[in-house]
Amino acid sequence: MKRLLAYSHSLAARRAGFLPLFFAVVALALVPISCRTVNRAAVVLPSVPGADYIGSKDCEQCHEEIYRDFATADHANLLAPGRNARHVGCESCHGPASLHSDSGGEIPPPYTFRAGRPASTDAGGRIGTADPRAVQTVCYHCHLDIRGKFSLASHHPVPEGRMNCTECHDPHKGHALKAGRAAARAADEGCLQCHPAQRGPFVFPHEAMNEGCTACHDPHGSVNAKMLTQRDSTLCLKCHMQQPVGGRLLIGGSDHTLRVQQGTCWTAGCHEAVHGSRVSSSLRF
Amino acid sequence: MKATFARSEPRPAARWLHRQTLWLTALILAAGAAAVNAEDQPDAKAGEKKAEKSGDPEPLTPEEFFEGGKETYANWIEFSTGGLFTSGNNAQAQQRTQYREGAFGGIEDLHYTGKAGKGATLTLDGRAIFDNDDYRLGLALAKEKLGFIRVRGETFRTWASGDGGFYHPGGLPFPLQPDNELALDRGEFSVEAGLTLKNLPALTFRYTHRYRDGEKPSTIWGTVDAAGVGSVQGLVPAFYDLDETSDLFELELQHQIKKTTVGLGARYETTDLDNALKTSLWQGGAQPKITDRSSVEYDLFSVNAFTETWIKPRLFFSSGFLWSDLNSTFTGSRIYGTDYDVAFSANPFNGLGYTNLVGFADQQEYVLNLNLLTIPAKNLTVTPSLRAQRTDWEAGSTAGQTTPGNLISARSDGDRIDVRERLDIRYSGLTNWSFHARGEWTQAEGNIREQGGLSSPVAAITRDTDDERRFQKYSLGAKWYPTRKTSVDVGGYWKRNHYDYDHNVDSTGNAGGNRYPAYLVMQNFETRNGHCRLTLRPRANLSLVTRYEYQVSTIETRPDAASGLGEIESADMTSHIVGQNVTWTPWARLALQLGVNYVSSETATPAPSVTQAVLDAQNNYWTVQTSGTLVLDDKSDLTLGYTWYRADNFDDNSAFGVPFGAGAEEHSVSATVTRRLTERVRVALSYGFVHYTDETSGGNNDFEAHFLSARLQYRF
Repeated sequence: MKRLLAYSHSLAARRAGFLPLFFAVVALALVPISCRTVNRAAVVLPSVPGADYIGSKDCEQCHEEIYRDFATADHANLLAPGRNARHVGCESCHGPASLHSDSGGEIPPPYTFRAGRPASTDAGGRIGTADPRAVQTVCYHCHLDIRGKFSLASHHPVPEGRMNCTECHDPHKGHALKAGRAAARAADEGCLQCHPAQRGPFVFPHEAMNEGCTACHDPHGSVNAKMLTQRDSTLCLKCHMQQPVGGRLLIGGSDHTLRVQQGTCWTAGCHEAVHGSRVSSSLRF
Repeated sequence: MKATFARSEPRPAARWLHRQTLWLTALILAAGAAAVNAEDQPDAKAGEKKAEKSGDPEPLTPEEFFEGGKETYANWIEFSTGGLFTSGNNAQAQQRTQYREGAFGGIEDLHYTGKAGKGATLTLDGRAIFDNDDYRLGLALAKEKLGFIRVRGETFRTWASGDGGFYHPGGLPFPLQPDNELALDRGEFSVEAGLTLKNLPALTFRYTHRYRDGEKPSTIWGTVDAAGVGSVQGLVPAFYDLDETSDLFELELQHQIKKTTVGLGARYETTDLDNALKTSLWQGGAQPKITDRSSVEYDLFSVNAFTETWIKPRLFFSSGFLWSDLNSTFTGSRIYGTDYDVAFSANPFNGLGYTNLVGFADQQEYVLNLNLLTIPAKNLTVTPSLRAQRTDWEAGSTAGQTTPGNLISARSDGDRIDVRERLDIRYSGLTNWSFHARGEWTQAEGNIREQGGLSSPVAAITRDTDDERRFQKYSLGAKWYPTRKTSVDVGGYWKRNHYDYDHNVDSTGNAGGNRYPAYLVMQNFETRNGHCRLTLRPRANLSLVTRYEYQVSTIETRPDAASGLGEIESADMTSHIVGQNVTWTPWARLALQLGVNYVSSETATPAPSVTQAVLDAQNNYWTVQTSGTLVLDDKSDLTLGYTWYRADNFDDNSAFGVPFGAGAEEHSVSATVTRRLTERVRVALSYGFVHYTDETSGGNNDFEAHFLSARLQYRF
């Protein structure tokens, strides 16, 4: 294994020359493969040979409640009259449903988000095994920027299959339904289920918490640790920056010019208690 | 000529390619495949029509395409074995890949669905990967018109690197000692049972136990005199030692009364947190380890009720009410020592700390929701909503401050009422167009009173602050489908969140040295956002999605007039987000996908005009994901993938401050061969390689990793 690792290291060092070779080998491999006659096709969901778009209205026949409630969903904004928009709506995510409809539901639509469906070809080369039950591959078709964020160094474990988009976002129901159930008593309640230490209330709260978790964290992913929206003291200075006076950086009237050289505002002993403190009004710890 | 995907019919592309085999180069092969594709793409209707005319067999179902044969099986067990082998920073490799270094194996996936008597269905799902601490088991039994019971347990481990910063001038890394490989176990066990008897209320009871146990890194780095000149910088790693458990009991009742669905719910959560932040300090200190322990127990009880009524097919009304009561107690300490978790011993050279913290925090919350969805005309949907929330809380604590030895006593309380209105309008009266608009408004008022706290180096405080919040957001969007192969999506929003603070009592005079809290009197957050997306399907085998988003946010801040300082724009954040997806099937046996994202994002503050220690923050990055699946023959597939991630924000200003911006690059390639040995048995072999470099850490977080995996699946 050491030899393999050493070899791979040298390979990486020469990867500029490795990649053309890699692609050439792959391309040449296609030559004998192409000779074979096969009865299958490579399928990229949701496109499925043999299935066609039928329009969301047809779905109502059997999925009356979901169809009715979908009127409240943000995704209902996709719906438009006319033949050109026939494919949007239910089939935007579930794929063309003609076979599903014609078979009376026996044949599931291409995307059913249940066990037994094919593994995604959208793993994107991340090592490890693709989650065959992944929901997010559908979402990424339109929300491609979110896919990019989940590839960053710090992200919630969606690519690893520990979470999925629907845990935080309901694709079928909108504000009028969800809010009625008063489930979202605070936007941050979803975060607090897994991060109860940040729930509070604290004796000395950080008023930035009124803005919610997303004031400082990007829940989809960030280049910075802890999904922070900024890596350094800029994160705090966004709100706490006051005018430079006489070449000094005054924060709350106190000269911080030298202190910010030591690192982030939340460096040990300075203002560690960024979510709130039980002993210090300055949120020291 | 259009191809049908009837069984046993030779593929035209294959015949064509067969004739070219001897002289095709790799490039010509790819181009040739693309050229024939137009004739080779699956077309459902054409295929069906031809099948009808020629009497060929029926087209394959999706399952048959996915699974490679007519017989498909709904249940399976998949065994796997493999390993992650790394060189370089193993902890970073484990964090990035979320695999433990070394070999692993077990049951990758287990699924069974079967009948369990008349009208009853049994479902079993599981996973057990040994030596990667990844286990899951779920069992569900459901009977029509009676009810269900579901039992589920899951535990898995997440990996993280505990390393701290890097001092570039001296070439000094600061790894966590003695071991920088941190791991946190997370788990959940739940039992859910429900009664779904006809014409009777649906009743559901759910018990959930959650836990987190282990260690994870912190960015609260300790200080060190890296340059040896008495100037400390925060580079030494710190980590959290977590032990958290939560037990939730939920009861829900739901019943249909004519057109109205009525629901009642109760929820009780009891949580026990015993967490510690463990930090190392300047190695020259007498007691360089800090254990900041916080133990919290809280009980959260809530009840809620809701109604949902489709008054008419075009008129929907919903209402909801929630009341919650949170009671918590806590203890804690912040102790310096020669090691973590030691008893307090006085040392005049230590920083601030405290012992014997005890306290409480209680909170009550009331939420009321009213929503109406009306469709006054065929193509017009209007949804007004109203939400009101009132929160009252109080908290108090006492502790012994260690340096100097004063008594800390603190108390606070507050209340807040928050009223939000929202109006959604959707119009689709033009063929192939959809428009939507949304307005959101919030009026909030609150009060906070604080007293006490640490008495040195600054005095304990007393303050009473009223705050007022005015929020408004206006969104507009349109979808246009000019052709069946083209869609255009444009939208944008403007929002403003304005806070005014009125400090009725403030012991920290705003002209003096220590002015926080109760110092700012106004903050204004504004964001302008515009985005568009173009989706093109120029050919049946090609799909292109292009997205662009532009966003500018500003924060304006005004301190109390007594400070002599005026209003300032304290931050200006600008982002450009560009994304491109391509899905191309150049040949019926080859599917290619490409995803590219580029983000340019900068946060500017006035600070760099004073000190180089804080530069404008850059969050720029590239991500590329590509994958290709090639059908080798009737039983075999080959999937290749490549990803690239690049954040080029490293700026070596270590002479002035830390940290210096994210600078990292990662390449990864993977290959998987899948072979169906029989209708029931299939095997898959995977190999992956990751090459990661990190400039910010001076290369100390660099790693290379090889991933090997073999899987055997049996379907039944």
